[in-house]
Amino acid sequence: MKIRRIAVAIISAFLLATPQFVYGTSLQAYEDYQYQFSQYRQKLTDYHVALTQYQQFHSLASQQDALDKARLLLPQRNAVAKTYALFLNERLNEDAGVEPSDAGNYRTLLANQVTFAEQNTAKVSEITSINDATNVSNLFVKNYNTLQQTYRQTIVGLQLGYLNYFAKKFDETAGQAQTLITQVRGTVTPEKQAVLDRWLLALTNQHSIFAQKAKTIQSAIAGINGDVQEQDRQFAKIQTTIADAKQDLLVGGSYLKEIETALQYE
Amino acid sequence: MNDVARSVSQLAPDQEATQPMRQAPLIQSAPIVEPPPMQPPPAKQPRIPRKTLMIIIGIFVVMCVVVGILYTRLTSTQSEGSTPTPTSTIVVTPTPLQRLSAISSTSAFRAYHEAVASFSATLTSFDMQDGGLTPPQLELELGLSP
Repeated sequence: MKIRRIAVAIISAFLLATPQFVYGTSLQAYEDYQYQFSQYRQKLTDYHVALTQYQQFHSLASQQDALDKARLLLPQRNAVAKTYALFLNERLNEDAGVEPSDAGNYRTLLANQVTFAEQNTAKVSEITSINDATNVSNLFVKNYNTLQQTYRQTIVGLQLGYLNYFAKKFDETAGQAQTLITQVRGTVTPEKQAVLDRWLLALTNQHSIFAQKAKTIQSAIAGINGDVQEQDRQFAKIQTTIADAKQDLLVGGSYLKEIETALQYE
Repeated sequence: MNDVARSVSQLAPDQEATQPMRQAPLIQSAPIVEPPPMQPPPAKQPRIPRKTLMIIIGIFVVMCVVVGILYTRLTSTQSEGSTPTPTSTIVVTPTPLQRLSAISSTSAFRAYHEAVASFSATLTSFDMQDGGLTPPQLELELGLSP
C-alpha cells in the first residue's frame, strides 16, 4: 500500500514537472499583432470622431480632445508596425528553407523597423501641441515606404524559403529514385531501363525549370521598392512566379510517382 | 255458338220463300263459318352466331387500330431529331497481371514510397499565400491643423 502511494506520488510529480510545449511562437506573435491591430482600429475610430468635432467647432476643448486621441493613436500605430515585424521575424526562425545569409539580412531590416517604431513611440510623450503631433506622425509617414518594403521583401524571402525547402525534399527523393534505378540496372529489360532513364532525365529537367524560377524570384526581391502602390504591383508579379514554381515542383512530384510505379512491377 | 245460330236464323226466311214446305233440313252439327284463316308465321331472319359476331367486331377493332396508326404516321410532320452522336466505345481491355518486382519488397523502396507520398501531400496542401503574409495598411495623415 505504501509502495503504491509512493509510486503514484512519483508519477504525479513527473507529470507535473514535464514542461508544457508551446505550439508555434510565430502563432503567438501573429495573435499579438492581430490584437494590436484591433486596438489600432478602435483608436483610429475614436480619433476620427474627435477630429471631426475639432474641425466642426474649433473649440479648445475639442482641440484638446483631438490631441489626446492622437497621443493614443500614434503609439498604437507604431505597435502594429512593430508586432508585425516581430511576427515576420518569428516566421524567419521557423522557415528552414531561407538561406542563413538572407535570413540575417531580413532580420536586420526588421530589427531596424522595430527600433524605429520604439523611438517614434518614445517621441509621443513629448507631444504638447498639434504641431508636435503632426511632426511625430510625419516621421512615421516618411519611413512608411521603407517599412512596407521591409515587410514585402521579407515575405517574398519567406516564400522563396518554403519553395527551397520543398525543392530540397524533391532533390532528396530524386536521389533515392536514382539509387533504386541503379540497383535494378541489369535485372530489368532494356525497354524498361530506357523508360526509367527517361524519367530520371525528366526529373533533372524539372529541377532546372524550378531553379530558373527560384533565381528569378530571388533577383526580384531587391526590385521591390518605390511607393506602396508600386511595391504592390511588383509583389503581385512575384506571387505569380511563386505559384508557377510551386507547380513545377508538383509536376516533379508526379514524375517521382511514375518512377515508383515503374519500379514496383516487373 | 251464337254466331252459328244467328246465321241459321238469317238463312231460314229465304229458303222458305223460294222452296215449298219441305221437311225440315237437317241441322248441320258442324259450324258453317269457316275459321279465320291462320296468319302465316313471320319469316324467321337468319341469326348470326354470337361467336362469329365477336370475331367480326374484334377484326374490326384491329383494323381500326392499324388504319389509325398508319394514318397518324402518314399525317404527322416528321420533326428532325437530334443527330445521334455515337458514344465512345469503352474498350475494356483485361488488366494484364502485373507481378511485383523484387525491389518493391525492399526497405529502400518502401522508404522511397513514403518520401514520394509525403512530398506530394505536403506540397499540395501548403499555402504559399497564407493570410498572415499580408502586410498591414496603416492610415498615415493625421489631418490635424491648428
